[in-house]
Amino acid sequence: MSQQFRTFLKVTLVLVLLAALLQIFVFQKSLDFWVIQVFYGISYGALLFLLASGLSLIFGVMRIVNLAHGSFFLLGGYVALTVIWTTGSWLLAIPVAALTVGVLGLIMERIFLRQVGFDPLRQVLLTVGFALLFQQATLDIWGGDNFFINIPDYLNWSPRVGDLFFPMNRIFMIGLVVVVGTLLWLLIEKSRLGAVIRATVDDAEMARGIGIDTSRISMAVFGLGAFLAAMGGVIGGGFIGVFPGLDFEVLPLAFAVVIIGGMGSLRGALAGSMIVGLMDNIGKGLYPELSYFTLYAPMVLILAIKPTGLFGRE
Amino acid sequence: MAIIEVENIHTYYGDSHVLHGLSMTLEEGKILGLLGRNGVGKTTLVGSLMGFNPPRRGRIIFKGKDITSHPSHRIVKLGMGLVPQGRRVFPTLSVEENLIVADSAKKRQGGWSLERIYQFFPILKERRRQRAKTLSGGEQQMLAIGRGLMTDPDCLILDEPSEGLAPLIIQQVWEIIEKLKEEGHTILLVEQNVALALKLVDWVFVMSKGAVVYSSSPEDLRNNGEIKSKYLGL
Repeated sequence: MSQQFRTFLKVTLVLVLLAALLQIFVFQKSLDFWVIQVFYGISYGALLFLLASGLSLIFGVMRIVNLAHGSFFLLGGYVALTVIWTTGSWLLAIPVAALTVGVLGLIMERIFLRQVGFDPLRQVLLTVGFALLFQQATLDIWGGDNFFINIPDYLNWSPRVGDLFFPMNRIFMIGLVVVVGTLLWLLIEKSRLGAVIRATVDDAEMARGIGIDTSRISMAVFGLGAFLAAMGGVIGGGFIGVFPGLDFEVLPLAFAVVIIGGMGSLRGALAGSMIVGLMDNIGKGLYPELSYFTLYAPMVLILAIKPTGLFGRE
Repeated sequence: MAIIEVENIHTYYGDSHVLHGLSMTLEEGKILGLLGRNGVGKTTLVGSLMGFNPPRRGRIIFKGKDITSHPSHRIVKLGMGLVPQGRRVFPTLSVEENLIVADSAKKRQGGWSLERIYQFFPILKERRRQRAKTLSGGEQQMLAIGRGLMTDPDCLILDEPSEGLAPLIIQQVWEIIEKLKEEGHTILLVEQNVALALKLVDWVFVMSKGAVVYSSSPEDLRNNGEIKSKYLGL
């Protein structure tokens, strides 16, 4: 714990130093620039948390890298579009899309992943197969157009603070993630089911050896991960849109988050999301041509200092 | 009455053939010692009994049921409890969580509860909010035993419970095992330390090269120099 905290401090220090250096070299940027970039970075990080927290938990429990996780995000967006087109309700679209894709995740785990047992290589290959399958299926069902999930009018305004405008939809997103994150934290850290999940992350065989049906835990966590990613897809549809190829565009971001934060840890997913969200936004704001560098540099830095990620286990 | 009957099992660890037609019968209500040198397959046998590593051939009968290819969690629900080698407490869980996750859903009369475990091991109550990885070796061993008991086992397997513990702590653990015996538990004690095991057990099995090669009362083993030197290195 204190070890993790010290690493966290070290990394924060390095990042602050980097930021300070940037500030010196881009002296012309005003305080307003920083405030708005940090706000955008945090809201982007909130979206990434929805995407990556499930990926991290799935890896922790099942020891597989779910390469179909970006597909859950994209599917969430598409299902939400269909709900909006039929009912016109954006608020309804969020739970319907999340639940639909969550159930899809449950079925995928139960019928396919479980059959290949605890062989990580075969499970990973199966998730790649599903990612490609979903890619084609979404193209067949929703076509190749770029869609945008229009947010309702009551969120489409921007409260003003001084000279700065803070878009309401981004505030809503941060609020939603605070609520979802708190519920997740209560589930994982405070409930008996959460303790069972953490026991499975610690030592799956031993968990079976005290009577825990870990295959049911895997199914639940996989479904939960799909649910969260799909919710991210709906919210993200208002910023980045919904289009073919989005699945494989967000997947590396989720990996960056999980690698930085450490696999199987909720706190790690939160820290990783915020770091990636902030670095990506501030990086793009300062040096748009170096955006990939500013996104992946912290990942390389953390891998060098602590290969298991900030909150990962040894 | 026999609680476990192992019939001619062959278990592999990857490609290597570890158990070669092992058979043994465990009597109910006794402490049974399983002795043998390092690498003879004791822990593999435990893995087969628990369903971690099921045998490819042969049968394991537990309480009259064939459990040979049952998943581990169902074997545990049937009444097999494990205190594994190296303790394997869940390091990031608190002491109390380690016990709660093992709590069996269907409680029977006189079964184990959190309160009873805390009565048995007062130190665990003191430490109940601490993460398990911050406990000392002896405390972790008590937690591992408490966790095994929380599953309400009819037969408790203790795999190398003395490993890495100071003599004073071992004595405490041995007293606990004796108390458990008085409560009528069946215990399979897997030990490398022969002298320690013989203090406690009602019957011994000696393993060599993946099979049971000798079984007797502890007195007979004590007086049998040939078996002791050949299989136990004494």
